[in-house]
Amino acid sequence: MPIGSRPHLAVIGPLGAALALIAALSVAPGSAAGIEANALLPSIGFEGWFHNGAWTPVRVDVQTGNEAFDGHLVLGVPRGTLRSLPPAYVEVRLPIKQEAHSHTLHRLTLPLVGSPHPLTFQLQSRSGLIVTSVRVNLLDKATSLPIVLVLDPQAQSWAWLAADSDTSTPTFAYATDAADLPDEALGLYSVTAVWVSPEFPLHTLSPLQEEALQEYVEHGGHLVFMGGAHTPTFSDNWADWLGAPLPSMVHHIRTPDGVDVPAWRLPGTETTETEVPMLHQSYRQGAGRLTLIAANPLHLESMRPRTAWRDLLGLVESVHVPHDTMANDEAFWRILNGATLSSGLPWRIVALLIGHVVLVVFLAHRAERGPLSLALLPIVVGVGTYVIGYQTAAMGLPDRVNYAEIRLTHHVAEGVVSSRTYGLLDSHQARATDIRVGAANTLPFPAPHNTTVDLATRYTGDRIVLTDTPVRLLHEAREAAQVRLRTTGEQTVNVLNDGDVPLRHAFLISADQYVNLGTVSARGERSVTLIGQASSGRIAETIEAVLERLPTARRPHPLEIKSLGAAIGWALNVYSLQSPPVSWFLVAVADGDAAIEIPPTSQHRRVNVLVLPVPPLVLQGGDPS
Amino acid sequence: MTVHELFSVAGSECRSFFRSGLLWKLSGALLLLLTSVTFASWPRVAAVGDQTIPLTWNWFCYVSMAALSYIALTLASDAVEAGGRVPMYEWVYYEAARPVSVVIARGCAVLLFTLILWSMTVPIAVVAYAASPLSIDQLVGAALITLTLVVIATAAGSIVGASVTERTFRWIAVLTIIGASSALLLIVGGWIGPSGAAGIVTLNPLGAMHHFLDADSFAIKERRFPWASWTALYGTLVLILGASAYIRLRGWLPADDRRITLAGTKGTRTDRAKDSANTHSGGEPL
Repeated sequence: MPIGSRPHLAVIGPLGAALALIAALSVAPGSAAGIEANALLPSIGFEGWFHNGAWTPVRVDVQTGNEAFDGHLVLGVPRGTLRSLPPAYVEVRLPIKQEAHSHTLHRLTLPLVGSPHPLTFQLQSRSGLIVTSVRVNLLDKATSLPIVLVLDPQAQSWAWLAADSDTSTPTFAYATDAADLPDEALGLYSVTAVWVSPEFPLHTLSPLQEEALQEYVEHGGHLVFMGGAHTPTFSDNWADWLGAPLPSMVHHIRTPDGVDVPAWRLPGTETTETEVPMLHQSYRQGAGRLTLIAANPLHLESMRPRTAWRDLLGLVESVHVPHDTMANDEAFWRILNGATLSSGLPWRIVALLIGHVVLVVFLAHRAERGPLSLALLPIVVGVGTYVIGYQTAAMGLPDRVNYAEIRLTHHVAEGVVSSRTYGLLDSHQARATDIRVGAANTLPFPAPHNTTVDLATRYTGDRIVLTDTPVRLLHEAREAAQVRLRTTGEQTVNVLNDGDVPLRHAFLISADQYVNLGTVSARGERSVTLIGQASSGRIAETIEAVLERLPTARRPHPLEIKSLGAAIGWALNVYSLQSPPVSWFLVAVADGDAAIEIPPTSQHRRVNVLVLPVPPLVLQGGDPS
Repeated sequence: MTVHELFSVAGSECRSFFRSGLLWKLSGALLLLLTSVTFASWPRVAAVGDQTIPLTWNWFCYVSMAALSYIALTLASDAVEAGGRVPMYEWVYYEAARPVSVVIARGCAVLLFTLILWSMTVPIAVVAYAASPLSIDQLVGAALITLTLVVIATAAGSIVGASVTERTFRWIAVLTIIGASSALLLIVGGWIGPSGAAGIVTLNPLGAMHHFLDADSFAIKERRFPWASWTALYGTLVLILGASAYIRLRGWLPADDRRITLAGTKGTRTDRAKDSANTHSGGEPL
C-alpha cells in the first residue's frame, strides 16, 4: 500500500527521521564513541584585566584528546573599537604539532584594545577545518585603573587597601602559580606593582619569568616582597640580582591589638623587644623600586593608617605610562605613508649597464675582423647578465620590499626610556611572497586602506611571516636611557649624551619657545641656557620650518623633519597633562639599532626621535623637598 | 629547395651582416636606446605605501618590441646598406637559389641576427625587470608577442625586398608599412579612437603585450590568453606574406630564352651567384 493512502505515515516518517537526526546531532561528537576532544584554555591579561592599548600577556593552553593534532592555533585579534564598523582582525597563526593526550602552553604578548568584538582562539587543521574555537570578551575587561598583580597561591583579597571613597581603587589580579606569570617584561609594564606573598614558590618561576620580573623592576616597576613565618628562599639568581641584604631571621611583632604576628627581621634592624620594629625597607633597583615588608600587611593593618600602606605598596605612585598618551599614533602612521626611501637607479647599476654596452659594442665592432670577438660576445653577455642580476638582487631591487619606520623614544622613569616603533612595510612583488620580519615585541596591523580587512600573519619562532602588504608594524620596548638631562642652575640645562651615536637636530622646546642645540656628539655634553627664540606660530611647525630652511647639505631627510614635528606634537599633548606639567623638553634625532628586523635586501629608512622632559623642579630653581 | 641552398643563402646573409659593420652599429643603437629608456623610466623615488607600479619594464618591452620589429623589417627589405649583401631577386634572377629557399633562408638569417641583437639586451632587461617584476608566465608571453611581431616584420620586409629594386623606394615602402601598421594597431587596439571588441583588442600585438604587462598577475590567471587564435591569425598572416614574397620573387625567374650570364653565356647557377656576390653591393638588378 502506498504511503499516500495512509496519511499518518506520511507525517510520522519524516518526523521520526528528523527526531533521529536531532538526537544524533545532540550527542557531543566523541562522547558517544568515547573520543576525547581537543580543547583550548585561553587566558588574557591579569585575570582577564588589561589596559586599553597596552601590550598584554595572552596565554593559551592547547590540550589534545585521543588523537595527535597537526595544524595551527589561530588568534583573531580585533582592532576596531567601534560597533559601527565591520569587525577587522589581525590573524595570528602559530603552528601546532602535538601528540595525543598532551598539552602545551603558548604565550604571546599582544596590544589588546577594548573592542566590542571578541578575541577569538581557534584550532585549525592543516586543511583549514576549525577543530575547536573559543571567544573571549574584551570590552568589559579593559580598565583604566592601576592593576596590581599579586603572586599568592591562596589568592587572598587585598581590596581592604583601597579606600572606600577612592575612585582609583586598583584592580587586583592574582597569580596562584608560576604559570600565571608572563615570561617577558613587556607583558608586565602595564602593571603598577607586583606583590609576592611569602607562600608563593618563587623557585618555580622559569628563568624567563625571573628575567621578566627583574627587567620589569629595572625599567620602572615596583616589586614588593611580603614577609611572614619563614625566611625567604630565593634562588641564586634572585640573590645575585637583589643586591640588598636579605632577611635571615623570623621574629614576632606584637600589634596594638596584642596579637603576635610572625615577621621577617629586616636586615640592619637589630631591635630590642622594647623598640618598635621596622616594618618595611625600600630600595631603588634600576629605575624601579624593591620593597620588603616584614609581615603580611593584612596582619599589620592596625599598625599603620591605610593610606600609609597604600603609599608604601606603590598604589599612589604609578610609573606606568598611560596608554591613552598613544592617541597620537595616527600622526606617525600618516607620516610613514608615502615616505620616500631612495631616488633613481643606484650608481653601481648605472656603471655596470654602461660598461656592458661599451664592451658589447666594442666586441661587435671587432667581430668584423675575426671570429674571436664574435665568440666572446655570448660569454660577455652571459657574464654581464649574471653580474647585473646578482647586483640588483643584492640591492633588493627585484624584491621591492620598502620599509620606513619612526621610533619614538620617550622617558618613562628615571634612567629608563620606552621606544614605540611604527613601521610601514610594502612590497611590489607581483606574486604573493612571504616576507619575514622579526617577531620579538612586534605585531602587524592592516595598512590604512585595509583597516576593515583582516590581516593574516604566521608566527614561526622568531619571525612573523607576512603575505599581504602594505602592512603596519608596531613594536614596543624599554631600555636604559643613554641621554640624561640635568639642571645645573636656574634656567641652565646640561644635556649629557652617554650613547655611541650623536644627537642630531636637537632642540629644547617649550610651548612657545625653542633653543636650537644643533648636534650633541656621542659621549658628549652640552650646557644650555633656557633663553629660547620665540615661536612665531605653533612650535612644531616652527621647528619644521627651521629645519627646512637649512642648507641642502645639512638639511635632514623629510621623514626626519616630519617625525620631529610629530614628536613635538606628541610631547606637548602628553607633558601638558602631567602633574606637575613639563615646561621644557628635549627633542632630537638619535640614530640607533633597528627595532624591527626586516628582510635584509629591503630598501628602508629609519628615524629614531628622542623626547626627554627637562626635570621641572630644578628648572624652577626650587628645592625638590 | 635543398639544404645546401638554404645554408648557402643564409650563410651569405649572416656573413654580410657581421662583416659590414651592421652588428656593432645596430647593437650599439639598440643597447643605447634601451639603456636610455630604462634610465628615463626608472622611478625617481621609492615611496612606502605607494601602490603605483613603475612602468620601467613596460617601457622596455614596448620599445624593444618596436625596435626589433623595425630592425627586422629594414633588414629583410634590404633597406639598409650591408656591404656585399646579395639582393633577394638576384639569387633568383641568376638562379643561384630557388625563390622559396631565398624567402626562407633570408628570413631565418634576419631572424637569427635580430635574436642575437635581442640577446645582447638581456642585462638591460634584468635591470628593467627589477623595477616591476612580473611572473614567468608574463615574461614568456611578452617575449612570444615580441617574437611574433619580429617574424611578421621579417615576412613583410621580404615582400619589399622581393619587389622593390631602388633602395630609396625600399625606404619609402618600409616607412609606409611602419606608419600604416602602427596606425592600424593603435586603432584596432583601442589606443586611438573608440575601443574595439575585447577579442580584437587582445589579438593585436599592442593589446597582447598590454595583457602580459598587466601587473595584476591574478587577473592574468582569470583571463587566459587566446594562444590558439593568436597562432592561427598570425600564422596565416606570415604564410600570406611569405607566399606573397615568394610570388614576387618568382617574377624574377628568367625565362629560358632570356637566361644570360655576366659573360653573356649560359652558366651554372652557382657560377652566376658567385659572380653576383663578388661584383654587387646591392642595388639594381643587372
